[in-house]
Amino acid sequence: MSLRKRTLTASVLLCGLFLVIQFASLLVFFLLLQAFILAALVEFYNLADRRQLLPQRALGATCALIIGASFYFPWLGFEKGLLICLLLTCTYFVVRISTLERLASLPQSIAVTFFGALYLSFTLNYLYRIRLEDGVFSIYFLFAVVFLGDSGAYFIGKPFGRKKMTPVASPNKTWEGSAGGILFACLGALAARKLLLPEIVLWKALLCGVLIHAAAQISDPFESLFKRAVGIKDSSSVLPGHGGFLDRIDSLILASPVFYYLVKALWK
Amino acid sequence: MFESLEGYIEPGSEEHDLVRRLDLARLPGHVAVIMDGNGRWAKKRGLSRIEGHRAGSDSVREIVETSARLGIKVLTLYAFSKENWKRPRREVSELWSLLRGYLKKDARVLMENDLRLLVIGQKEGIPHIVLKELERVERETAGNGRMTIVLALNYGGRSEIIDAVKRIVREKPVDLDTLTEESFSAHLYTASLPDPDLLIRTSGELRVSNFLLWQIAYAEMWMTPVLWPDFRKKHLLQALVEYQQRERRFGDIRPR
Repeated sequence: MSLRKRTLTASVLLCGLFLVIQFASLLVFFLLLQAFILAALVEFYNLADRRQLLPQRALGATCALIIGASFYFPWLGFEKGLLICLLLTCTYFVVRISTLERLASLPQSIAVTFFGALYLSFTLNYLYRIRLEDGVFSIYFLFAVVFLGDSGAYFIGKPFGRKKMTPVASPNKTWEGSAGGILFACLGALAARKLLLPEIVLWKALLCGVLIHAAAQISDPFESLFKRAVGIKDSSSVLPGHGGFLDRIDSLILASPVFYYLVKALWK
Repeated sequence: MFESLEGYIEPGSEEHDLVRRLDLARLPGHVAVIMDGNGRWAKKRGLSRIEGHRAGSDSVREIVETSARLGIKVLTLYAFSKENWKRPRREVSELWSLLRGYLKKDARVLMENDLRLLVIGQKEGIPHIVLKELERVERETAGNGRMTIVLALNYGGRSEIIDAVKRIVREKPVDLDTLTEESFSAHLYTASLPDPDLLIRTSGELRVSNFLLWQIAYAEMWMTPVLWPDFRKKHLLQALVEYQQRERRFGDIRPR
């Protein structure tokens, strides 16, 4: 994919993202986030389908929304939300498994359905919680670190990368690129601090930058690992030059909750 | 353009009555306001605190306009104290976003009405995206002379005094014998401004809260239980009428 196409898609996405984050009400932000999570979940299940893992889309989407709702409604809470999901999942399979052939696929079907909902909804809904409790500036900080870190790994790793880091998950990742990623993530943290959050002590901002980047760097190859397992490169081709939703947000999946707790522990 | 009071105040209204009792020749030159109560105002209505700040900005507009029409020369507004960083991070980030939005939108109003913006406080602590806008508006309105709107941001009275001391000490040979109240004042953020004559605080609190500690030595204080988003021109006029009824003696036994 050409860099120009990549850049164009990225600019359009970033503009839309900025408008939503900056101006949408909390409810609209929450609803759009759920739509985004569902889109990513559908891609995840499409991947699983290639290996005949039999993801149950309706069940998974319902669980993802219940988990989301548990973030939005304090009276529901994550514990109750999780219990409802379990009850639903068990009931679903008890009712649905009517033949012995279906029984054989039960473990993988439960695993992939439930994991997908948890993996995407539980993690990404922390973005809502960050906006609710810490405000938009903190979200920009997270994005600056994650996206600059990703780009840094790409632009440094491409010309200078020699030593392979994760030969199976992401064969293109190198230690040199990773160092570039950390450097750019720190630059992102510094810039976001200067522009938006000058009250954060310098070392805390930098530490956050490094740790968010570390979480992002686990998040990203993990998603690739899953794609390799089913034998493709991009999760879909919805976004020209970027693959699918899942490819674009893979770094955020683990970075968002980690950032949320870093803010609570370090920044207060 | 804000013209004089004519047409702005409805004849027969309470405001009109208050204006009639005012001696426009003896208005305070500098009015300072501690705008308190946005959060409480919002809470009473079941709104988020940021809605309170939004409503408070309407009061700012009205008080700026009324002050300019009356002919007050300096209006200082305590918008964000150094202690306000302790508030929830979300509120802080929304406050700065809100301020930045107003600067982008309302700078034109300042130019049209010959109003100058001046920021006091520690600029280093202000988010850069906001600071950039503040400095732009300050620069653009620097030549405006009708009224100066002083915005206290990341401001603390004690740190202002400490900053002044640092500045004095850093200036080459320090001759402590020549240090006077006047020369000290010249090192404060408010160096170019007269001291406030009237300090207004809303929402019933009876504190100075680290605001203009040095400068309010002889300011008349006027406190009101009205919450800042409910503060209207009527209340400003009430404060001015009461200010004119007071005897200002500055330590002397005869009024000046």
